[in-house]
Amino acid sequence: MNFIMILYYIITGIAIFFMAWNFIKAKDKDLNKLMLYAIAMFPLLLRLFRLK
Amino acid sequence: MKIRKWIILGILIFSLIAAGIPLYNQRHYKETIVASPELTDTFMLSKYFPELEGTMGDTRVYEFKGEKEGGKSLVIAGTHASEIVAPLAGYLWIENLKVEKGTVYVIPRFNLSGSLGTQPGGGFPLFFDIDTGWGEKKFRMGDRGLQALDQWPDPDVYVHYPEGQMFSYIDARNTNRTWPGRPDGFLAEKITHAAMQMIKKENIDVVFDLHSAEVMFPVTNCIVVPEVSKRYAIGASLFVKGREGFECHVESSPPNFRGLSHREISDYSDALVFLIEAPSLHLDQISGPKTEELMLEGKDPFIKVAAKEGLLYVPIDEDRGWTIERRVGQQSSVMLEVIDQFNRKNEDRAIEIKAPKHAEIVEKGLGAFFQNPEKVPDDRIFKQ
Repeated sequence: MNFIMILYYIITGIAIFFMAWNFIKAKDKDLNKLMLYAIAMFPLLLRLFRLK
Repeated sequence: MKIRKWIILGILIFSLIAAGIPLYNQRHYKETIVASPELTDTFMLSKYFPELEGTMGDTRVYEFKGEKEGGKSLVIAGTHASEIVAPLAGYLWIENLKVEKGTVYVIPRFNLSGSLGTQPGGGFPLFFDIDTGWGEKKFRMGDRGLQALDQWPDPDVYVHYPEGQMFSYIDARNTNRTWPGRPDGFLAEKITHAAMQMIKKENIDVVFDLHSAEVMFPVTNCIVVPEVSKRYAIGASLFVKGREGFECHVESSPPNFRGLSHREISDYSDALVFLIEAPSLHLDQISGPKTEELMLEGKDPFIKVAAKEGLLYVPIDEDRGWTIERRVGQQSSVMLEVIDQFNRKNEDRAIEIKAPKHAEIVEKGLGAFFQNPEKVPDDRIFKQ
């Protein structure tokens, strides 16, 4: 795994962190936002766990 | 967190597990190969470029050496793992090849990484099975390029080395755009570099690169060759038509389209190169659901409509379909015929081999040529 690839995994991890933070901070009644954060996190989590 | 968040989080985790397990299983599934008793050696491609060792770019090479000295041929299959005909033709030869004179090397999964996942959003099954007399033999369905897990990130523009031609970013992961490769490039470039080292070091005479293409794409059902290979390809094309009754026309390798095997192997080595394309309906965007049945039986109602409109570059016989037997059989027969043509003009480097031909494969079914791993010694079984 080259250096640039490692950096991209770090960027992915940071993006997931902020999305998860926003998910936690979003209002419970704002269903649209909650679902959007969850859906947006999905491909990033797949990559971070090296599944796809 | 409130209950609604927990529910959404639960759905996310459930979806991740539900999607992740099949993807993980496919990436880690090993195909079983039962080599012919004629197999003389196997080694990894990294033998010719040690830096490849231990990476997802390394792949197994199967060697079949005849008792008599002769020329050498290399069969590269699985460059594009979504084109399932190619690895199946490679496996067919590994399981059935007999070499009397010369040496044949077979790489069934040239782009091993590409075979470990399907095209994102393509809707392809993760696996497909071939019926045999002893059960079903399972294979991985793959993607065109290396998995982004193994070569990431993609560049904005892929600049070919050494010609400098610019390609789409996605072609940086395409091992049929990275020839002749380079030792310090992308993983795809390292793979083709290793293969070029092999071709030069082993003094390979004839290289085959097996592919399949859409029926609505002009370069299909053909042999793509540079100028130096043309007379052999034309001879082979005429003979398969006359002897075996199927079409496989000849296409010229464009001199200004860089990175392809049929261009760069010819320009950067002394080998004669032949890229063989078989028609595959599942690759056409307009074909229906990308099912295992479509991939193996080669019948589709939408393609049938396109055929009626005159939009295809190969004839479609709806009753028969472009079955996997026809396509693998054609590739095997064309390779045998090219070698025959080569032998006629290069007696001192002749390669004498036997492998199943088109008519025999169509008649018996492809599965009849795959051996039961439970009935052969362990030293002939390989997993990859």
